[in-house]
Amino acid sequence: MRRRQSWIRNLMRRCCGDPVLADDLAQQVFLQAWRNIARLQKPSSFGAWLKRLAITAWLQHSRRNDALRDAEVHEEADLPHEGTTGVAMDLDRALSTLPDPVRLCVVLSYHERMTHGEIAELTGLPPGTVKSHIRRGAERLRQRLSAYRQTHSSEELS
Amino acid sequence: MTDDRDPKLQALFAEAEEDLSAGDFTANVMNDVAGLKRRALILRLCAGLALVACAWLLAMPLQDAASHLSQGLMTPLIGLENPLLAQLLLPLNNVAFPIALALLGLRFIRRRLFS
Repeated sequence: MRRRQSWIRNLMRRCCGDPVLADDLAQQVFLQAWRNIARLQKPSSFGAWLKRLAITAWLQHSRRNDALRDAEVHEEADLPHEGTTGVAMDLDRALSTLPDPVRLCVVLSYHERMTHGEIAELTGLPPGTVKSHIRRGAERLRQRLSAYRQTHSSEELS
Repeated sequence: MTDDRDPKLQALFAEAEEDLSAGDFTANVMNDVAGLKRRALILRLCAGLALVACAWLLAMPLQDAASHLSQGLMTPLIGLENPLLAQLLLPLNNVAFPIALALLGLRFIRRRLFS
């Protein structure tokens, strides 16, 4: 658990944007893992199994809040403040403006580096929807985090 | 299906990945696990106690019922005058035998139909 906690907590933070909620969900994931560890057939696939548990926990949380049905893009309360809040906070803030299914697809693609097919299989969404969610979400993030992109570009140039 | 990712966005995600300390988080999870273990132990103890209580309360009635059932199943179907013949045919000439035959027949039919 010590080895995987940071990864799962980071994943949940990207998914829900709220560190406290993310830690609660990550805690649930590890408890779920402890309860069901006997069902794990291949010890080598522990990581993938844990990730599946994490995504399921997040989806259940989203469904409880009736958020997956909300396909509208959320309006952002305030713009990211680079330098004052850190990349993680700004990224989470930008991610929080995306509808939950879009955010989940983007996080799985960019944070977990999963393929569209893997995401479709994990979330149960059609592959075409996954692709469009990622495209839309990435576009939106590009807009929101344009300041970082400019910084990166200038660093690359220098 | 292409899985192209924006490299700059990818870099931001990598940069945002924090190495979170395990301390409090691990302690909280371990506390919850200990709570779950305690609850499971209490449940098992309660179930065991309930089982013992049930066994103690139902032992005599169950024994009586089993005795009546075995007597009922061994009742001869056809009354035979000759005691030796009655003893010899008792394994076939009782209530249990046609029931056992019927059950075997049903199992055979089920296997033929569903396997």
